[in-house]
Amino acid sequence: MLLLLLIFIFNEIPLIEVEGEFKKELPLHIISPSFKDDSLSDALSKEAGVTIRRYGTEGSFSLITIRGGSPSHTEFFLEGVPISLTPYSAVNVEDLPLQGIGRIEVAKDFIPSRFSTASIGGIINITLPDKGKPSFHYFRGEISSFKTLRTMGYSIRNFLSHSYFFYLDLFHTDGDFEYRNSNGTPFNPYDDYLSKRKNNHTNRVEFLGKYSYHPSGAISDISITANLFSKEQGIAGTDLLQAEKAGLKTERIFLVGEMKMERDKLSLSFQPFTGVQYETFSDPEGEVGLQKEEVKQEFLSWGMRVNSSINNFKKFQPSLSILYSGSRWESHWKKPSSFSFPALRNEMRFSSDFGFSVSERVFLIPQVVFYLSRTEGEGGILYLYKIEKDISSTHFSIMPSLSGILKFSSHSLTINAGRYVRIPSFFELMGDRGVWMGNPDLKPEEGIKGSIDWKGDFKKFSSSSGFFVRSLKNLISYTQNSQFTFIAENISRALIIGFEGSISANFSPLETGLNYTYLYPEDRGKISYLKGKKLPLQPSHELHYFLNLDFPKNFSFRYEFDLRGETFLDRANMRKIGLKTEHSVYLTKRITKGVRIHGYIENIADERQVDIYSIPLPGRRLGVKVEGEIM
Amino acid sequence: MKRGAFILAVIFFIGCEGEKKVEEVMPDVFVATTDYQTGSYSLLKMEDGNAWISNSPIPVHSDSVARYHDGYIYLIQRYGSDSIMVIDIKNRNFFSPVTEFSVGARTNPQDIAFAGNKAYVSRLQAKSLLVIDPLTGNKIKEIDLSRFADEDGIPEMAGMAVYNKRLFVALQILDENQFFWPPVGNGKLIEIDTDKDEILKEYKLNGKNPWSSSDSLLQFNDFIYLIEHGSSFDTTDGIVEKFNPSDGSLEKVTTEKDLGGDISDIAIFSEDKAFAVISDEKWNTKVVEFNLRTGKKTKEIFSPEGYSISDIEVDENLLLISYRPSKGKSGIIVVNADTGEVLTEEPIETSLPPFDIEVIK
Repeated sequence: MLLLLLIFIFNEIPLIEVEGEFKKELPLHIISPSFKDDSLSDALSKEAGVTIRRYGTEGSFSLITIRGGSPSHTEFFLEGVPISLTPYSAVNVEDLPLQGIGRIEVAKDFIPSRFSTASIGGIINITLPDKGKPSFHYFRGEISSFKTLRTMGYSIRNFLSHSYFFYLDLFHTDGDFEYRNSNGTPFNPYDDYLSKRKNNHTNRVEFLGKYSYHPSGAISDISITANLFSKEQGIAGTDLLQAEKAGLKTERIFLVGEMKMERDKLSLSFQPFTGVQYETFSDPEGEVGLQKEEVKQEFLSWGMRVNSSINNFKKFQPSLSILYSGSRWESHWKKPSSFSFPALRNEMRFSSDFGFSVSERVFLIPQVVFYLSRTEGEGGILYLYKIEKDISSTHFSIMPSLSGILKFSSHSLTINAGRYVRIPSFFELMGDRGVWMGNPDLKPEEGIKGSIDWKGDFKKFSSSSGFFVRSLKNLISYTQNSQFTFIAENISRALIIGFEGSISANFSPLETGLNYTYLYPEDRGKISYLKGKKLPLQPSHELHYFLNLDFPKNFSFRYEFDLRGETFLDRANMRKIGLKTEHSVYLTKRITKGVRIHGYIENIADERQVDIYSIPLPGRRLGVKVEGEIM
Repeated sequence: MKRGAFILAVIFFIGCEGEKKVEEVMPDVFVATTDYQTGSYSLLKMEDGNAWISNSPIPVHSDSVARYHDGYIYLIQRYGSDSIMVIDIKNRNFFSPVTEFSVGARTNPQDIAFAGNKAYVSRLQAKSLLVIDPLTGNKIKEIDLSRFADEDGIPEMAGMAVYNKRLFVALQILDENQFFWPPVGNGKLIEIDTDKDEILKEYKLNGKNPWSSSDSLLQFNDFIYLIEHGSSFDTTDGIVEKFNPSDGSLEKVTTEKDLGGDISDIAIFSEDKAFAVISDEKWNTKVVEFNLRTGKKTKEIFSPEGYSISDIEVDENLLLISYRPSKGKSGIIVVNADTGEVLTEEPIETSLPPFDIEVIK
């Protein structure tokens, strides 16, 4: 109400604009990372309804959840191509390409059929930056706390019927921050001591290249995209049990081709893709788990996506998408024993939505996703008792949904409701490397989701709010166990209710904004001591505030405030963590046209509340960054 | 923190039992509980097969076992915490630990045994036995046991017992370089003089892997009973032996073949009657009664599905079973130890599923 009152006071409502022709309205949320966003998790952490859980320093490990879901609910896309089909993206946001650049599309509830999913945790689509310019070259160099160095650059060139995009990112951090070690005795503060994080380094190299050809005939666009990624990192262990030799190496190649055909009434695209990823986990001294382990994971994926959209009807716009994907996962254990688990999965997804223009202001989008999969193989290093288990299964499900959009003036009201089903991923079934344990007994999760979202844009204000509810059966959730490893488990019933709101205002030279999310995530399962408890790691309140001020002489100042409310680190709700607040400031000076220098202090008050039990986080962080661009 | 926990405890006690006041209550059973993610504990006052129960509001390590000695519970917080929490029972200071001290990161403490003013801490992943002041945790000395180890250099200390000022430490002799740490030789029992803290003798056991899932070595009628569990993947290779500390002799009591499954725990009711927790080839655990003289199984007492029984203890004429099924209610099952009749219709629910039962006597 206060918000509406403010709007009317400022009399910001513009004239009603009526669209002359039908255009299907899809409620996608767009994020453009700001200069200070070094990573995708940085950019997303400011968004209402998005929760980030960090496992350490930048570049090491982050998990993301949207609207109370679990990390594996959110599906990731690169330029519309599903990269969640490979296991890395479903878990570690830090390994995703295009860290901190480009444009991020987020669909929290209604997901357009071109993404071929009904994911309850939404989708995140990362797109290339500034494709429209004739040529654009960007460079960034940064040095920050804990011996963190990063250089990154990209180049875009459009000439005649050709265009290319190259992106190179080099990153290193020692991650050797200090923290207070409880000595394993949290009730005895007198024996605490200061420790320095060991074996917490990350070295990462990433290349992304895209070449496009734009012929003038029926085929409008042909492109090929290649992503090469290599990372070597130490695994630091817990606060008490620091590991010194455990490590993880990740290497991958991902190739996507695309051919687009666009006619007046029809657009059609074909996207073949393939990828291979290797991960080698080494724990020669059994520092992370109890076993001395070396295991190599091999993951191969391939597939084809076909998208079509028909614009032949005045009040009706159907879209169809077919996605076939195959994936092969194999764990090669070298130590302590030599054996391997191969598994194969073939998936077919068919999705379609039909946009109806009921009137000039009302749109209805019914959608259905058909999903068929066949999994074959054995898997799971599970607890101490079972070594392998048959995970072969065939699954078919239908996921209908309906979205209604009401547009009035510059406001839109969107109502979504739909069904959702997801079978466990290979990662959840088989684990990876000691830290993440497989659970071949997992059942598919399913549920219904609903939401009401409002969005309003005014001359100097923009604002949005949303209410959402999810009722879930067999929710797949990761649980931390006593050996500080994690295992995916089914929560037989869960209810998640939430509200989110955001408002931003731009009174140049001042710009300010606030996001807030409220979550009520309840475990409604059959286990008596957990029933009624809150789902862990889902804070009831999250808030992000920012203030930008531009000063004369090319100076600008930015202040950010983040608040995370109380939450629990465990399903039993016995390990409560308190309110977490962080203040950060950023100063920018434009040196010449296209060249800027930034200095920043993040987490000024050195807040040390953890996101994950026993995994310490770095506190105050200082850095300097230089960026330049040539057009 | 401590004061806050104490106030919470008082509120909890009064809230749980409207007419009873906290100062009137003296629990007789301590239960370490866990869902393997978080640990806690519950205190029970047994009343004719039922129980008055109070749950701790404070979390502890998720892999913990309890030992009672001289008015205090020593909560051994195993791998990942590697510490001991001391809880004052005799002064009814139940939820505000007296102290908590480390016994060495990554050492995985298993048991604590007491002799005079000293305590001995066996540590599964250490080479030496730790000698401490039990109420402060101050280290007195370490006794190196690495000469009894196999090739991995670690002797894998497990349960202990003190008899006439002599400490007996069971060594599991596992190979930590292989999956699930299989036993590589017969287990050993080391005798230590607790006055001089010197190793006196080594006894070679007749079975492998002297097991201390959650308990110290069981003592009954001047004998020390050892569960020599063998491999966790073989339901026929384990035995129970009794050791006579007076003459160092060993005698077989029963076998996994006799009882019908992998033995993980025993509890003795009388000279004739004992109980065991066994698991069959499908990993279903059950409680069976057996004759302590003949070693033969006499009765099945409690046979739920799944690997759901973690501990049993005899408390006077009751047998207490720590029952933690994957579905449904978990808690303490009470059995009449004399007749074998299950007295509880439903498990007596603890804060989290029970793991280790410690009778406070």
